[in-house]
Amino acid sequence: MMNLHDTDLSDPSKFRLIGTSVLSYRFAIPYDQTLYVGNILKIEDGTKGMTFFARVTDLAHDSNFEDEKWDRRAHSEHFYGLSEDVYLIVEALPLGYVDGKGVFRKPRTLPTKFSRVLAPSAPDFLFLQQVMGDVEVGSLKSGQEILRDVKVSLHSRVMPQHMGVFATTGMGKSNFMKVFCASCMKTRRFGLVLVDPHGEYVAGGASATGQPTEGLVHYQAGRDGLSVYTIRDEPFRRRYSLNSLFLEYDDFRAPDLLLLFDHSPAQRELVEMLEDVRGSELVDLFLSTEFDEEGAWMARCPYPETARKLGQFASSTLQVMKRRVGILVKSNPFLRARGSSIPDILKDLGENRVTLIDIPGMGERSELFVLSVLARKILDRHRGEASGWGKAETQERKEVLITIEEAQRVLGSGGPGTAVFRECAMEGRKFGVGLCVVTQQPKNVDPRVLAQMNTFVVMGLSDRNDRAIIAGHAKQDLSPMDTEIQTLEPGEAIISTLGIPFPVSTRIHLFEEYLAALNERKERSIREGLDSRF
Amino acid sequence: MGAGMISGRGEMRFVHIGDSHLGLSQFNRLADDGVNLRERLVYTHFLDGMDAIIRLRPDAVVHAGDLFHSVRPKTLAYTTALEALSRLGDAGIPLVIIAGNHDMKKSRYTTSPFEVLEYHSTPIHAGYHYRYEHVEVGDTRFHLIPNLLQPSQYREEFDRIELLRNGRNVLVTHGLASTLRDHRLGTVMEHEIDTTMLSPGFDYIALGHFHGQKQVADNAWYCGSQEYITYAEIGDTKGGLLVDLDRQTVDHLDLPRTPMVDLGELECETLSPREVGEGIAERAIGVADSGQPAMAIITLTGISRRTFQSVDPGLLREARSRFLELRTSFTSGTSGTPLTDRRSLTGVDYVELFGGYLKDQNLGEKEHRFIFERGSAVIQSVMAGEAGEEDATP
Repeated sequence: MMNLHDTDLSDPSKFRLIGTSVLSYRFAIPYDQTLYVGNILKIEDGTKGMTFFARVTDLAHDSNFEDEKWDRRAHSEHFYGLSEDVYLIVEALPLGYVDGKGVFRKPRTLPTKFSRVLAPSAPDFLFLQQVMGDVEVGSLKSGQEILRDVKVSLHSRVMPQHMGVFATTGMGKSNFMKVFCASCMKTRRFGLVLVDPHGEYVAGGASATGQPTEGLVHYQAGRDGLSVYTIRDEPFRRRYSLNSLFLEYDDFRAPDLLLLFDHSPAQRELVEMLEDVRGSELVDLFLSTEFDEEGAWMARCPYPETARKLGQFASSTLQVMKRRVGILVKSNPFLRARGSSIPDILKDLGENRVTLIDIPGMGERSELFVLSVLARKILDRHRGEASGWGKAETQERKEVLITIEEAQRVLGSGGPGTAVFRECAMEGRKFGVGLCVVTQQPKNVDPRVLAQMNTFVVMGLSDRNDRAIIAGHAKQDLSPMDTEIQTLEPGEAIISTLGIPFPVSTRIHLFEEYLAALNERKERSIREGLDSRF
Repeated sequence: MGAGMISGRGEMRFVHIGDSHLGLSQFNRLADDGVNLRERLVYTHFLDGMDAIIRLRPDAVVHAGDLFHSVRPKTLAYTTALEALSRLGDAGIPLVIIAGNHDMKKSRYTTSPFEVLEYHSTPIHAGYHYRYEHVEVGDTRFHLIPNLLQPSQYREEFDRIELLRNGRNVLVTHGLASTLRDHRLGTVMEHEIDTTMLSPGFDYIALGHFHGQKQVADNAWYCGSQEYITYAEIGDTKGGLLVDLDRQTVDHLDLPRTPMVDLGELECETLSPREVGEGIAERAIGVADSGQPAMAIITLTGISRRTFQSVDPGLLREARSRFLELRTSFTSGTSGTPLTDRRSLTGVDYVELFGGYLKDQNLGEKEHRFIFERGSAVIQSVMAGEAGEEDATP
């Protein structure tokens, strides 16, 4: 045995494509090269005049020696210096190619054998601008490198076709949602509703790591695109020009209770029977009636028709319902007999505003109650508009995206309490109603709901089952990116969406930095608009 | 009307009225003195209503806007308002009032009619500038937000409000509560009042603009107009509200008005023109005489235009003579589709309506002629287009 000549590491021809198919590329590169999973590489095919792009999915050592155990034998390095016959094998996923006319196309053909493989620079990604949308969320990430000039933007036209944000705690989900909201405020292409029980989105607060954060009201240049309904005190409301949040009894429907409490079969039957009864009647009836076993209360009840229905149930069941209605009314200070903010909220959504429902300290029940009411009202309105007659075809269809955090609570498999959300997921798209499902447990979300989603934002999932579920439902194949998903750091995401032809690895903007950039206004020349001629 | 609960303490009992529209002139009947009869009735009922209110001895009268039908009121509208002020002054009852979208000056160069009223010796607390103002009567602070030029100004002015800590707070404003968005009147400068303004921080919110009496929040009421202003209001409750902050009650107050009568539907599909005429006359005769001229409406279903045109004019004249006005509304065949509903421009003579509106604006001759000619041309072109579209409808 003898040492071969050490490789000339600066020779670009050492970076060459050696296989394997239209669905998977393999490169050989010098052994000392630093590449990362997720790196995007450029393959220049001079023969065909095309430039291919591929994402690194795996890296391995390889050599040309027949002796499979050459690197494990004693003194092997002594016998075999690292040379041209020892190299790295790179597995890569084809992303597409730019043809001779500069148009980006899906990878339906192969580069010529031994095409040169290069690390692309920002200008190489200009083609991506052709396929990016208008809702900016971050910058393209290639391996460890962040290409700040290459922005990743979702397509607003796709958003109301349901979106999933999958992230475990501390992975930057709140930051992503704020960046997403700010971009929606800027573009104003659809209405976005968000219920915030932690009060962190309005004026900021502290991040999961304890850092102070800013809020959506600090995006001054886009303030017209934001509408906030809050339960906070008057000075806070005035300081930021917020709206007060009120719901009225008639906004409430009996099935909302299914979402908030566990029900026995009899109680469930009772709730379903009362589905069409007005909320004000329900509240008045249950709060003002003492249900006795003999049924004497029926004669005193001011709502004879509803009383007749209730008469079929045991007084103990009615007592439970009375307690629950009482809890609902008492625990939600924004609920009053008359005067609801819902018409204002619907108007704001119709004007494509980000509409934030700020209920800090209100707890899970209140959050779900507000969400349930809002989802029903939004769906009802959009259904009504869709079934209206005589509308001009040119009339713009209004679209709304409803954000549901910890969505596994309401979009798990089963339970009539979640009917309204399931309806939104299954039928909402027809009426311009989409869901933004945020969860850290996608495996607990109804697979039929996941199947409806056209946009996946994956921000790190440690559970293998969760990743498998996501990979199985995304419109683009995410399984080759499993390693990259496992190694995502906070603030990083894999985004798979319609409109962008391949899943993109993204560094989500830090909200505070993005805000500073958004608020920067181009100074207008004092002469702008003036007639410069005599 | 059932008493509604409001919160608070101290003593204050006031009457909440609004949308008087003094100067409103409609139809073609004249009073004995030559004044438009409808206009005369509005004045008479307003003053009679004020007498009824004074008899209740309230601590204040709150008017929630649109006292006048136009920003340049007719002389009779002024004298009626001044007479009402005299009567209130004699009774020692203060008037708290704001300008509504009808009587708010629309430019800084126009003089508000409320400036004239302020010459009266009776104290008048009027909000008619483009800003929030407040006035205190006893231990109650009345926060006045008149009709404003821009919708966004409402919230700006609202956020300037400082509630009285140790007393009562009453908000008086004029606009359409967003919860009633479907009831838009479509008038000039009709602005929305969002639910943030319907804050529970007030003991009572006195609203004007919507002509039906209606509660829109736990503490917020439209008193409604005293008169039926349009036929669309036939189902509304009219009058005022007696608000007692001490007893925490809000009670309906019946006030004099021109009655509005629904003569019902007359099925005309199988009737001859003569039978239609007789049917209308029969319904008209059947209305009990209330001692004062009423406005009435009858709906003719399944009638063709040709049939209606052939109805004996004498019969119609006889029927109409029994009312201040008899409005005929048409619906087609079995579908119940209105032939002259509000969506159809061809069913109404908008040029005539426009002319009537301009006449009320007391414009100069040259200005009037210019606006009428230009406006009529636009309306006619729109109506011609609409007629074309309707003809094309299967």
